[in-house]
Amino acid sequence: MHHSISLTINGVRRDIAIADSRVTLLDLLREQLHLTGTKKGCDRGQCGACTILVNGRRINSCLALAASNDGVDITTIEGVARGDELHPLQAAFIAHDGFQCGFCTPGQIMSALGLINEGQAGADAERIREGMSGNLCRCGAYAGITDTVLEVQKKLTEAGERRAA
Amino acid sequence: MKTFEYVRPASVPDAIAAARLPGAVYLAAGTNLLDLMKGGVSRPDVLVDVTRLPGLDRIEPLADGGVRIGALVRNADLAHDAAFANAFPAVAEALLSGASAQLRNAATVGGNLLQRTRCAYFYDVASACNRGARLWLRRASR
Repeated sequence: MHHSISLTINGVRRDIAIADSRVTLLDLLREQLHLTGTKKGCDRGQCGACTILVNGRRINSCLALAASNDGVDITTIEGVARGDELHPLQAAFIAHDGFQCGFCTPGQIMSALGLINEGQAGADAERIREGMSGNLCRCGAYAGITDTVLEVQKKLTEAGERRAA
Repeated sequence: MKTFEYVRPASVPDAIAAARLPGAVYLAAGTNLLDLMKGGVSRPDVLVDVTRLPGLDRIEPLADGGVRIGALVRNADLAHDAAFANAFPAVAEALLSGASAQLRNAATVGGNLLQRTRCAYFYDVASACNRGARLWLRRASR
């Protein structure tokens, strides 16, 4: 059965035909829309490699049916930088060696964006580790990832305070 | 994953009617159901998507000090609801101890209660966990 849905992906509205009800947001992004920055790791909601933002909130795109997400606003890793200018999180991942092979990195960055949006972690490394625990890294770059999120959260909080002052 | 028909009723009565179709199950976020379907453990013929049904995503304080939680309230939203977390801190903390932030953002309270639990210890009444612990205590007190 065919479904027709519309999604806003990285700021661009798209009308999309879905040929099969079983298609997840992850497979739609990768196979149909060729946005391959979002990675398929376990495909069972355990590794976090497929993390995207849906209406500003981080979810596992491998466990979200595309048909059920008609009308949502999606941000993927492709929508994070502004042209050639890296997002502060992307730059900080490089500066802190927050990866080795890089396979989990798009998911880590989207998850970190979601965590910062949620505003629950504060400047506490332990809470950031807990908040990022839905993203596995087989290379074990966790120390760098925690430092990255700590630094960016601090910078963004300070920038917000400067704007408010 | 086996093929299925996807339907999205607009009202609660329509959803209840659709769920009576042979092989039909309700779909909310799907964080549990899709995982089971990928593994071939759950093989529904029809998914009845209830995520857009109106009025099921509210957290309502009751006069007697209780709270009525809509089936479609997300686990994360319930845990971070200030009034709820203040009145029921242990439940809020338990919600935040479950799964990951990504799953808690999607998973619904109704779906959470309807999960098909596959943990062996959950079904083992001799195991000191969940309802098993209560059964064990009851037996021990006899």
